[in-house]
Amino acid sequence: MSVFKEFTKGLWQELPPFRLVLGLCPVLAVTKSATNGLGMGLAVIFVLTWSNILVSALRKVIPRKVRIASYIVIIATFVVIVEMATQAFFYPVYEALGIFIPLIVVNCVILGRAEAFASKNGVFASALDGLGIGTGFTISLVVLGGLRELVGAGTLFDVEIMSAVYRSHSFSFMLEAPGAFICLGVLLAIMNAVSAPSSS
Amino acid sequence: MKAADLTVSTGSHWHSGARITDFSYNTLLALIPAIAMGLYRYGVCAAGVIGTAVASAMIAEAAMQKILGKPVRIADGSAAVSGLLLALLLPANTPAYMVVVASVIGITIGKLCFGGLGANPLSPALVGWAVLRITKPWAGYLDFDLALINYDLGFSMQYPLAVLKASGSSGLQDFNTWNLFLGNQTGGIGASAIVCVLGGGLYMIARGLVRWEIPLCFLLGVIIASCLFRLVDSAAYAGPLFHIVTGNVMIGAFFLSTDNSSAPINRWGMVAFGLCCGMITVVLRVWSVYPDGVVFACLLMSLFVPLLDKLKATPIVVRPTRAQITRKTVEGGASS
Amino acid sequence: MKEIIRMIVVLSLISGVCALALSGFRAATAERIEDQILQNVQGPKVKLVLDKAENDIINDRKTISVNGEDVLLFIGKKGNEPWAIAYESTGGGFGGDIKVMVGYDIGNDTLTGIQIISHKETPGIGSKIAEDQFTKYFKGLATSTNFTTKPQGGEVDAISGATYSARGVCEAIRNSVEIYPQVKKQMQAQ
Repeated sequence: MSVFKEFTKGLWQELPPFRLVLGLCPVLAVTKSATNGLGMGLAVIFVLTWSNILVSALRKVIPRKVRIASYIVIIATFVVIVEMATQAFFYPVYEALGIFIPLIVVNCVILGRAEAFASKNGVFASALDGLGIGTGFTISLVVLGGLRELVGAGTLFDVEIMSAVYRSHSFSFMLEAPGAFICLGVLLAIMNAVSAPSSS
Repeated sequence: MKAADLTVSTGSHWHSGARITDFSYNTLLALIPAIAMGLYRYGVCAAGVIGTAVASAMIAEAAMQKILGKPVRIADGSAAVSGLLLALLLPANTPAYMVVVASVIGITIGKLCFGGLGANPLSPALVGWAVLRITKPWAGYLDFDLALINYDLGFSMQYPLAVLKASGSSGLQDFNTWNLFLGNQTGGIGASAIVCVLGGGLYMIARGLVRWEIPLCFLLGVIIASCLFRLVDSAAYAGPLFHIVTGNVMIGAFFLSTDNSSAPINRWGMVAFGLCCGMITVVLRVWSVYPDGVVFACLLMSLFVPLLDKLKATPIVVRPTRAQITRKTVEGGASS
Repeated sequence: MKEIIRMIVVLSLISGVCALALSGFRAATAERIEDQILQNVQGPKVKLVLDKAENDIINDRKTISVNGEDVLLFIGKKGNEPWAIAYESTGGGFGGDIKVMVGYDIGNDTLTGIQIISHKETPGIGSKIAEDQFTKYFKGLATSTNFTTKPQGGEVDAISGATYSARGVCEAIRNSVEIYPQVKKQMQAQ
């Protein structure tokens, strides 16, 4: 049961962008559409889970003083693997995410989990933690991307939702960088308002 | 009105003895000539845009204050002023939904999210305008040439700054500076009535509600930057007078950049603020994609206000002269 | 001392294993990645330039050497006969290099069309060079045309407000036309 909790905590209590407010660079930059958010989220799940597993497995071998360097090397390896894989098999996704796939290396969520969780816990728990946090990250990206895409372009996962009139006059401000900040801020405010009574 | 109602969250205003309501209602009064000119030119369309903007700004403010559990203070008129300033920047036939979106976002996100009047780092009207400007499918409605194509007011219906952007200062022979100054130009409902805006601005300064430093330095900044550009190539860049009498410079100098909480409070801060706003305006007019840069210049400089507030004139320490020191020692007796 | 050696050994081992894994993965995917880039980046443009070709243009490509530089040549065929060729060239624009794919009808030495592969021009102004409005002008022009903009004494209409960008495209086309005779000769020799 407690192992199950390692997975579920990433979905609400430690939801990365909204609760930990970590990894905001890709959150803001790639969420122009729900599809992009999903692609980025899946890439992060892969990197996070595998780096957590490896860091946890090697936690007794890696000396403390070079641990950050070791974590970065491990994370970078998985990121490059993801980059080459998307380039080879999902080229449109690779084009849409561009520079943000290599930038997963410096995503605080991944290094944060390696340092705060995987280096102190067993392999199985770390894998679940990576999966959970990654899933939470993905859900956040899809929600933010979906909202921005729906309002900004009138589509969702590239499916036309709104009428043609709306789509030709869509509020594309939401797709611009300021729209991303405002949308994230509003979602944060709503999440805080929703969970405020339970915490007090 | 009770004294408690006048308390604002930060005390960073230049105190002129006036209350918020005085400031708001005097601003409305000062803008009446510009509004009148807009109504005379563009008729009921302009009235629609102004009405929509003011009403939606006030409703948004009241609703947001209710949601946030704050006392509802729309009677102070600051939301109405924001809505009005926004409307005066827009073309007369801006669709109502655009006006509503701009003023609601300006008021809620530009102002109340930061804690309401006095705590907003940016002017709500400018935030609303900027949101419209960068929304690509709506940009056509803000392009004055295109938006006002069905109007014929007896003068060139080409937006002077768009002409400047497209064909350099050689394309400006059709425009007479004096005519432009009188407001015979395409542009925002009120912003294009240059002489009326100037009159309103002078009234605000005379009443002590707007400090003269910012407007003066704003215009000075425009003059300096446009002269510099002109030195480089007088065929490509327009002169300082043209820059001052076109677009949003006049309304920007007197009404947009002087927004209470997004402008500096010290004299040297104001001078730097005004100069930078003016110079950035010209730079944006020359190099940016958009024909006019006043709003973006004001927004950019507003972000620097916390820094500019640190610019204080250092107190001048008057050192006593040798004669005074000797006199003092003589008077004080043998005190070392 | 022992600790330092341990640090060095562990870190080198991790890096070494990672490098090995990556190079293995790279070797496995390199060919597919190259193919994907061709299909997705240049492919659609080449197909637009050589729109009348009946063969699979991406597969019928070869690399030839002109003046010591490699040129990736796409060959369009009608029936089984080579009908047109296309290759990429570069010109300097306002914001950076402009890469242009130029197609040639080798029968009568005319341009079958051009497409902008990549550019860094100002959005909304210089970026108009990538629009059909501008690129369709070049379709059917002879290679002997003077590819310079009208303000510079040539025959190409410049775009108002985007003179430099239009000039960049012209420069790329001139660079391309310059090596065209050699490319054509090499292609026919093979």
